[in-house]
Amino acid sequence: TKDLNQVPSVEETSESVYTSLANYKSVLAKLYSAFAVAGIEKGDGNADMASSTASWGYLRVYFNLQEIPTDEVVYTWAGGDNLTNIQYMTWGASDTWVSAMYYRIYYTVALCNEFLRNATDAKIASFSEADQASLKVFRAEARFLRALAYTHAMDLYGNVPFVTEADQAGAFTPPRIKRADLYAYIQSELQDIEDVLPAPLQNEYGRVSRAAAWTLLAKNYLNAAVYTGSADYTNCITYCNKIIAGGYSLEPVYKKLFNGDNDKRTTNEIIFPIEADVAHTTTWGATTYLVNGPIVGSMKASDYGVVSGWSSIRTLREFVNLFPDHSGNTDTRGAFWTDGQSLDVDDPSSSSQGYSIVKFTNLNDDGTYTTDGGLVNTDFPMFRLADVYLMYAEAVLRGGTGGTVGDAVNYVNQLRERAYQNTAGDINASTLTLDFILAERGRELFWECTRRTDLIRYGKFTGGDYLWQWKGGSVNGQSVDTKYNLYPIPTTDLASNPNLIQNSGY
Amino acid sequence: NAQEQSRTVKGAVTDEGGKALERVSVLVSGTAISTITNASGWFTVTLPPGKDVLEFTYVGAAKKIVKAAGDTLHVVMSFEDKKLDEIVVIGYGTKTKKDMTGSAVSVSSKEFNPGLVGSSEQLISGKSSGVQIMTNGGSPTAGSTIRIRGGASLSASNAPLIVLDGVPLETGGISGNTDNFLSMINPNDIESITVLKDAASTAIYGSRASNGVLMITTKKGKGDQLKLNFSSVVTLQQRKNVADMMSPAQFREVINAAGTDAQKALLGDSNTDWQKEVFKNAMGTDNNLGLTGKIAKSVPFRASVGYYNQDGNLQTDKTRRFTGSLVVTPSFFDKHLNLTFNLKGAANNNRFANTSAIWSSVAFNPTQPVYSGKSAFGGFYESLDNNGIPATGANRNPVGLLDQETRKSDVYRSIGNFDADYRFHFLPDLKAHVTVGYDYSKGEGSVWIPAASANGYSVGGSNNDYSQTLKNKLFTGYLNYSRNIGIHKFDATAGYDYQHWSAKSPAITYYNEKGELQSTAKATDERHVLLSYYGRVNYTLFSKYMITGTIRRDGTSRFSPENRWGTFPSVALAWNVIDENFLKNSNVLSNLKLRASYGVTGQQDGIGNYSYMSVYQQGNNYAQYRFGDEYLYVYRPSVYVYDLKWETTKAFNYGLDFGFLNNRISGAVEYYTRKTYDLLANVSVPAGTNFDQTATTNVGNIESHGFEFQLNTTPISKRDFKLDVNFNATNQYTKVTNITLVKGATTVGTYSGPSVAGRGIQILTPGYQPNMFYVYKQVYDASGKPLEGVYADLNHDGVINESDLYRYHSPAATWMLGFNTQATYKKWSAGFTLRANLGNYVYNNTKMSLSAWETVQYVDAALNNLHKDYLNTGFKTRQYYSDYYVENASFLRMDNMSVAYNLGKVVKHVNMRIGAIAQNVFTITKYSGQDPEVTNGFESAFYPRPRTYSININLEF
Amino acid sequence: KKEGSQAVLSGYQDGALTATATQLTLSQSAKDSVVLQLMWDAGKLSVSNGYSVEESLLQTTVQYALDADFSNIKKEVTVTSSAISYTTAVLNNLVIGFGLTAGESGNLYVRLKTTLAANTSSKYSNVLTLKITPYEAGSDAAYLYMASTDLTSFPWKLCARNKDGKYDGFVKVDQWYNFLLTNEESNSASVIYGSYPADGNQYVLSAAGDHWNLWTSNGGYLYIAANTNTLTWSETVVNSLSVVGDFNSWSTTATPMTYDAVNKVWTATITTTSAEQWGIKVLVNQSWSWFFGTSDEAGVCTLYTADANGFPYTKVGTYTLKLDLSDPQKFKYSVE
Ligand SMILES: [Ca+2]
Ligand SMILES: [Ca+2]
Repeated sequence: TKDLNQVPSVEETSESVYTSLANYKSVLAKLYSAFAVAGIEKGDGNADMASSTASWGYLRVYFNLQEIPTDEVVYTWAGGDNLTNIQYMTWGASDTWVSAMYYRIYYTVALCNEFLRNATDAKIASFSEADQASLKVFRAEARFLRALAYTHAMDLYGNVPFVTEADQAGAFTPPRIKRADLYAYIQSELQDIEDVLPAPLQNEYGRVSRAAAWTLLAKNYLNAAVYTGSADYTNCITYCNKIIAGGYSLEPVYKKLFNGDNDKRTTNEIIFPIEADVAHTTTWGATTYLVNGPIVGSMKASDYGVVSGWSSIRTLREFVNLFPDHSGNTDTRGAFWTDGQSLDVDDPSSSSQGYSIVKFTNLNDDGTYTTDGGLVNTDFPMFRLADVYLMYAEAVLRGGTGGTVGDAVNYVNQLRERAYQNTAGDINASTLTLDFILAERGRELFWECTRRTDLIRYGKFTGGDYLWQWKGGSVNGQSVDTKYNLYPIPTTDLASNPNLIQNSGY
Repeated sequence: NAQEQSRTVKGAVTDEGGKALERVSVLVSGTAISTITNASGWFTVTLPPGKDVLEFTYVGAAKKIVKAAGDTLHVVMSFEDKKLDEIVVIGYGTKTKKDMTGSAVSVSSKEFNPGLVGSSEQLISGKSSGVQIMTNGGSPTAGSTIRIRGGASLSASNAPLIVLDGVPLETGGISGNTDNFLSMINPNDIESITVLKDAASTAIYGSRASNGVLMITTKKGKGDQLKLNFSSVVTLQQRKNVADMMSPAQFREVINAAGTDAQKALLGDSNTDWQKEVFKNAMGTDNNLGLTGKIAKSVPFRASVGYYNQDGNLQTDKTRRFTGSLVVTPSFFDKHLNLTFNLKGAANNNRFANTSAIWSSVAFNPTQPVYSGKSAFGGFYESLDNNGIPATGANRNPVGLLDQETRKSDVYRSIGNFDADYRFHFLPDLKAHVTVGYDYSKGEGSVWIPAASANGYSVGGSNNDYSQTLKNKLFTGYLNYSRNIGIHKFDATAGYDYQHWSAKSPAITYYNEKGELQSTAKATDERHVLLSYYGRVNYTLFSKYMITGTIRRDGTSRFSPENRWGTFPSVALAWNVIDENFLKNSNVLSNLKLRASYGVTGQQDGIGNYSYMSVYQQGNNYAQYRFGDEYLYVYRPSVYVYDLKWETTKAFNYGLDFGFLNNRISGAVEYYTRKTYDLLANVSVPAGTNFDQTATTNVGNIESHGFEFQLNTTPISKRDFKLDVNFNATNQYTKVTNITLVKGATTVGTYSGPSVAGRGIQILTPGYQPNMFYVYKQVYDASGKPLEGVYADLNHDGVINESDLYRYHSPAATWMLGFNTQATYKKWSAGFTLRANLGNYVYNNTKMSLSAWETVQYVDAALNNLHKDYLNTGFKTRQYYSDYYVENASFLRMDNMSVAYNLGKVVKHVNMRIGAIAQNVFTITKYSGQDPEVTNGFESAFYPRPRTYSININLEF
Repeated sequence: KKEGSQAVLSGYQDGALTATATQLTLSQSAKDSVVLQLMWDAGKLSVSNGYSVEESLLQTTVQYALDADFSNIKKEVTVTSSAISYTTAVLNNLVIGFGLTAGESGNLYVRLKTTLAANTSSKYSNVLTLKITPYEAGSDAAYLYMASTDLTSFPWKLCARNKDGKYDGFVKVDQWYNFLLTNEESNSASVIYGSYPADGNQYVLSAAGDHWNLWTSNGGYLYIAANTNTLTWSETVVNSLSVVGDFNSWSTTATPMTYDAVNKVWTATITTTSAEQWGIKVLVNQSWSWFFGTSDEAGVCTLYTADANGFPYTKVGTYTLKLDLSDPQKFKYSVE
C-alpha cells in the first residue's frame, strides 16, 4: 500500500517549495503578478481561475467595474463580453463581472494568506539572518498586496468575508466583516508594515516601497466618509505630505506615463506599477486591453504599437466636455480620436459612436514598438504622484488640516502646466472648488480605475445629480438607485457562506 | 430387478459436433447424487433403486434430462437455445443467465448494429434498455457519450467503466485522440458486450462502478478447421447543412433595407454558399481479415487484421486505423491449466479539420467570394482592417481555415493480457486465476498554420508538436471455489487487484512558421494507483433460490491516507419461480424469475490525481514578473481539498425476467432507485478559502429512479422464414437533493452547462432535475411572434430581473425507446433499428447567436450572415435567456436499415454474403435545429451527423 | 410554438387622444390658469394565462408638430400618467418656442406614440389639431405665494426668477404645516395649487377643484421648489448655513450661521485679518455644490448648484454677516 502514496513529479508541493529564499521570492512574484496576469503561461494560459469570467484577470475586470458604469467609457464588443448590465448599472448578484472581480480579489487574498502562513517566524527560523531579513520584507509586501485587494473589496462590495493567514486553507466559512471594521483593519495593517518596507524610491522596480503603503492609506482616508461614515481628511493630508516629501516628481511628458517604456517612470512619478512585458509578462487583460481596446474605426493599430484594434472601449460626450476642446491642442490629455466617430452615443452597440481615447499605447519613448500579436510592454500605474497631488488638494478643500490651499493650487497647477505645456491652464484658489477637482481628476486620471470611487465620494455616481449618456440605460442618462454605490455580494458566495448578508437593495 | 437394485450407468457427453465436453454436471433426478464428466466427456454414476432419470447441465448449453434405459448413454448437449442458458460475462468470472442475480444485458456479435461502425460502443446503440449511446457529432474522429442509467454523478465522471477481456481500460482520451479513444479497438474483433447495470453486478468493481460497467469480450479461436473470414464495407456519407442561413439575395435585401451605408458597403457581388464550400460527401471503407483454427491441431488461435479509413464531411477531416490482434488459448495438463495470450495493436492517423470553420461557414458574409483574386492570405477573401490585415474579431474565411491548416496526429495503442487459469489437480473444485495486463498508448500530433493565413497572421503562423504516453498496468489474482453438494451449489471467489496508471507528456514548444519561439507548455507526468481486495459468494438452493454477496475494498492514491480506503458491499437475491412445481409444467410460461439487489459503489474518476495535496506549479517564462532587473518565475499554489473522499452510490434494483411459449417471447422488467452521496462536484467554495472560485469537493446528493423494459419476440420461426422483433424502453428521472456546502443554504442554485453570455445556461437546484435550462418565459404577440425583451413577470413585482428566471425543462430524456427487427427469408435477411427519445430539450445556441440584428456586425470590417429565424423574430439584440430558444427535441430516428443476401458457396470452400445498409436514415422531430441529439442539450455549430450508405461483402473460406 | 401555458400579450393598440379645447386664444392675464388638458387612453396590456409583464413595458410619449404628418417633430414628452394640463403661460411658451407667431392663429398637431418592444413597430393615436393664438410674453416677476389653507395669510413666497415656471425659495414652517400655493396674495387668487397625491406621491401640484392641501412632514427651515410645468414640487431641509473663506481656511463647519426668526435673517460673526481674496461662500448643508456665491449686483448673492466664485467680502476685523432669504427674487446680504 506504499504505492498509494503518489506525489507529483513535475510540480512541487508546499513542503518542497518553502525551502529556499529564491522559492519564497517566486511565490511573492506570483502575489504581484496576480494583479497583472491571469495565468502562469503565455497570454494568461494555464489560468488561475479557469472556471469563471475571472479568467480575464484582475486588472481588466477591475477596469470594467470601476470605469464602464461611469462617464468615461462606453463599451461595445458584440462578439465578446456582455457588459451591458455594467454599463447600464442594472447589474444583479448573479452578474458574471460582479462575480469575477469578487473572486479575483479573494484569490489574491488567499494567495497572500498562504504565503504568510508559510513565512511565519517559526517557519523561517532555519534561514540565515540575511535571508530572514529579506523574508520579513517579503511578508510586509504580501500584507500590502492583501491590503490593496481588501481595499478593493471594501470599495466595491462593502461588507465582505474576512480571511487572514490565521485561517487554514480549505473548507470553512469566513466571518463577515463590516465595511468600517475592514477599513480599520486595512489602515492598521498598512501602518504596521510601513516601517518594514523600503524607503520611497529605494525599492526594486516592480516591488513596493513604503510610499505605496502611504498612498493606499491616503486614498482610504480620502474616502473615509464613504467607508465609515466619518471623514478623515487630515490624515489624508498627513500621508500625502509623506509621499510628496519622499522625493517623487512629475514626469514632464504626460503620454510617457502610459507608453511601452513607462517602466522608466518609476524613478519619478509612478509609485506602484502593475507590470506588462511582451516577452515575459504576457496577458490579454490589463494594459493589453487598454491599448488594443479603444482602437476603432479609422485608427491604425500600428500607430499605437500593436497589430489590430478591438473596437471595444470608447468614451462619452460628458467626459469629452470636461476638456476645453477635443483636439488635445489645448489640454494635451484630451486628445480624442474623432475621425469617423460621433460624439453622441445613440446606440452603444455601434463602434462608430463615441470618441475614442488615446492614452495607453505600446510605443516606446522613441516611437518604435515591440509587440507579439498585440501584447504590450505598457505597465499600469496603480499609484502615481499626480493622484497624490489631487488627493491633497481635495482633502484641503474638504477641511482637512495640515495643508494649505496655496500648496493645493500649486500642485494642481503643476499638473495643468504639464497638460497645457504652458501656464495658460493655471488656476487660482477661487477656481479650486471641489467640482473642479472632480473634473480635474477625470482629466488627469481617466481610465486609471478611480472614476467610480471618485463619483461616489462626490455623490454623483448614483442618483440624478449628474447624468451621462446611458447612465441607467437611457440614451441621455437617468437617475439610478443609490444601491448601485455598492456591487452586490455574488449569489454563489451567499450560497456557500451563510455568514454573509447581501448588500441592501439587491 | 431394476426397480430394487442400484446400478451403474456410464456414458459420454459431447456437443453437437461430437466434441467431448468436460465438467458437465450430471445429477440423478430426485436425489443429491451427482458427478461431473472428465476431460474425455466420460462419467460414471450409480443409480439408486427406482431412480433412472439423469439431468445434465453445462454452462451455455440447454439442460438435458435423459432417462437411462440401459447401462451406457451418449448425451448430446445442445447449444442452440441460448436465451436462458447463455453465458454472461460478469466481473471476475462468468455465469449462466439463469443463475444471474443482478441486472445485466449481453449483446452478442450476431445482434450488433450493422454498417459503418467507427467505435465499439456503437455496436449496441439502441439495443438495450437503460443504456444511452450518443455520438458526439458527425466527425469521424468524434467519439460517443455512453450513459448507463444516466450516470450517477454530476460533475465527476458519468462514463461507465469499460473492461476489455478483464483489463479495465484507460478512461478519457489521449493527446491526438481525445474524443474517440475506444475506436482503437476494432469493433470487428468483438464477440460480445455485456452491460452491468445494477449495483449488485457492478459492486465487484467497487470504486469505479457507480456508472455501470461495459464488459467487452473479444473473439477467440474455436473449431479445428482453419477458417478465413474477410469482410469489407464501403461507405458514402452524405453532407448536410448546419443551419438555415439566409441566401445571398435575402441577406442583401435585409442589409440594404436596414443597414447603415458602411454596412451596405461591405456587401460583395458574389453568391457563396459557405456551408456547401466546407462540407462534402465523404467516402470510407472498413476491411477485416480474420483467421481462426488450431496451431499444431491443439492450440486454438485467432488472428485478425483490419483497415479502416473514413473521411469526414468537413473538408480535410479524415481518420485511418490499422488494427491487428492475436489470441492464443493453449491448455495443459488435461486442461487443468488454461492459458490465454491476447494481444491487440492499433495505429490511428487523424487529420483534424479546424472545426471553427463550421461556425465561420454559417456566419460568413454570403455575398463575398471564397477567393479574393489576390495573393495575400493564401488567396482567400478575408475581412481586413485599416492596416490591411485580418480584422480582430472577424470570422475567418472558412475554406481558408480548412485548406491552409494541417492538424495531424498518429496514435498507437496496444492492449495485452495474459491469463492463467489453473484448476487444482488435488481439488478440482478450486481454481486459481491470474491476469497480467497492460494498456499502453502513445499519441503524437502536430499543428501547422502558415504565417500567410488570416488565422495565423498576427503571430506569424503556428508550428508545434505534442505527444502523450499513457500506461496502465494491471495485475489480477483470484481463487474460485465452486462445488455442488446435492441441492446446494456454492461458488466463492476472492481476489486482489493492483492497477497503476501513468500519463506523461513532454514539454511543448510553440513556434511560428519562421521557427521563432512563441510559447511553451510544461511537461506533465502523473500517476495513480488503485489497490483492491474483493470477494463474492454465490449460493443456490434447488437451483431455484439464489443469493449473491459481494464485497470490495479499494484504496486509491487520489485521496489522503485517512480517506483513501473504501468498502463497497452488495447483496442480491433471485428466485427462479418457473422451477417451482406449480409452474414447471406450464405450457405458456417458459421462464419466470424475480430478482432484487442492493449495493454500494464508489467513484473517484473525473477528479485530479493530486487534488488532496497542496501542489505548486511553476509558471513559464511568459508569465514571469520582474523585480529590479530580474524576471522571476512564479510559483502558484493550486486549489486542493485535503479531505476529499469517495463519492458513493447506494442502489436498489428489482427485476423480473419472463418468457412465454418456449421463450419465443421473452424479456425483463427492471426498476431501480439510486442515491448518490458526497458527490464529487465542482462547486463554488467560500471566497478566500481556496485557490479558485470553485473546487472539486464532496458536496451534495442526487437521487434517481428508473424503469426499464426489454422485450424480445420471435413471431415467426419457420424453416425458411424467421422474424425477430425486439423492443426496449427506459424511463429515467433524476433529482438534485443538495448541491451546496452549507446545508439548507437559500440559493437559486449553481449555474451549469455551456456558457451563454457569461454564465451557464443551465442550473442545478435542490429539488429539481439537474441541468434544467434557467431562462425567462418569453411573451408572444397574438400572431405568435416573440416580443423582444418582453418576458413574463413571474413573481408579479412589476419589474423583470433575475428573480423572474425559471427552470424550463432538462436536456435529459424522460423516455428512451428502442425498436429493432430482423427478418430472414431463405437467403435474404433484412432489418432496421429505430430509436426514440421523448421529453428531451435543446437550447438552440446556433439560432440564438445568429438571428438578431446586432450579430450582423461585430467589427467594422465584416458583416455576418443572419439565420433565417431573424425574419420571424426581427430581434435587434440577442435574447440570450429566452425560453424561445429552448425547444422540445423529442425525436424518432431510424439508426439503420439493412438488407443482406447469403450467396452460399460461390466457389469451392468459399461462402459469400453481401449486404447494403443505410444509417441515420431519417429523424422525425419538431426541433428546428440541425440535430435534436446533442451534448448537454446545447446545439452550437454542431458537426452534422451524415446519412451513411454502405455496401458490404463477407467471404468465408 | 411552445407547449404548456402560453404567455400571449394583448392590449397593444393605437391610443386615443382627446383635448378639453381645440381652439385657444391665449391671454397673458390668465397666464397661470389651466387652459388646456390633454387626456388619453394608451391601452392596457394583459397577458394570457395569468402572466404579467413589467409595468413600465409600454412607453408612451406625446408628440407635438406643426405639420400634420409629423415629419418634423417639435417636442416629444415621455409620460407615465394619462393626462397633461397646460396653464396659459406654459402653453404659450411651448408654442412660441415651436415657432407660432404671437397674435396669429396657428395649428399645433398632437398625437400619442406608444412603443412596446424593439422588434415591434410603434403605434399612434388619432391626431389632434389645436388652433392656438399665442400672445407676446411679458416680463413681470413671477411669484407663487405660500398661503395658509384658508387663504388669509401669505407668510412666504417662491419666485421664478427666469419666469420659466420653476419657482423656489426658503421658508420656515412647523412640522406638518398645511398650505396652498397661489399666484396672488389674495383669497381670490386665480390659480390655487394644492396636491392630488395619487399613488402616495404627495409632491404633485393640482389646480383642479378637488385638490388637497399641500403639506410638509418635515417642517423647520426648508428650501421649496415648485414646477408648474411638470406640476410637481419638492422640499429640502436646510440643516445649516455656514460661511467659508480664507478666514476660516474654507472650513465647512467652523462658521455656522444662526437664524433670527423675528427678522427672518441669518447671521454670523466673522473675524478677518485681510480682505477675502476669493470672496466668501455660504454653504447650504455644508455642501460645496449648493451655496450662495457671487452675483452682478452689490449686496445680492446667488444660489448655485454648480461651480461658481464666492461673493465679495472686503471688511477686515470682526463684523456680522446678515443674509436675508425671505424674498427669493433676490437673496440679499449685508455686513455690519
Ligand atoms: Ca513594462
Ligand atoms: Ca419580477
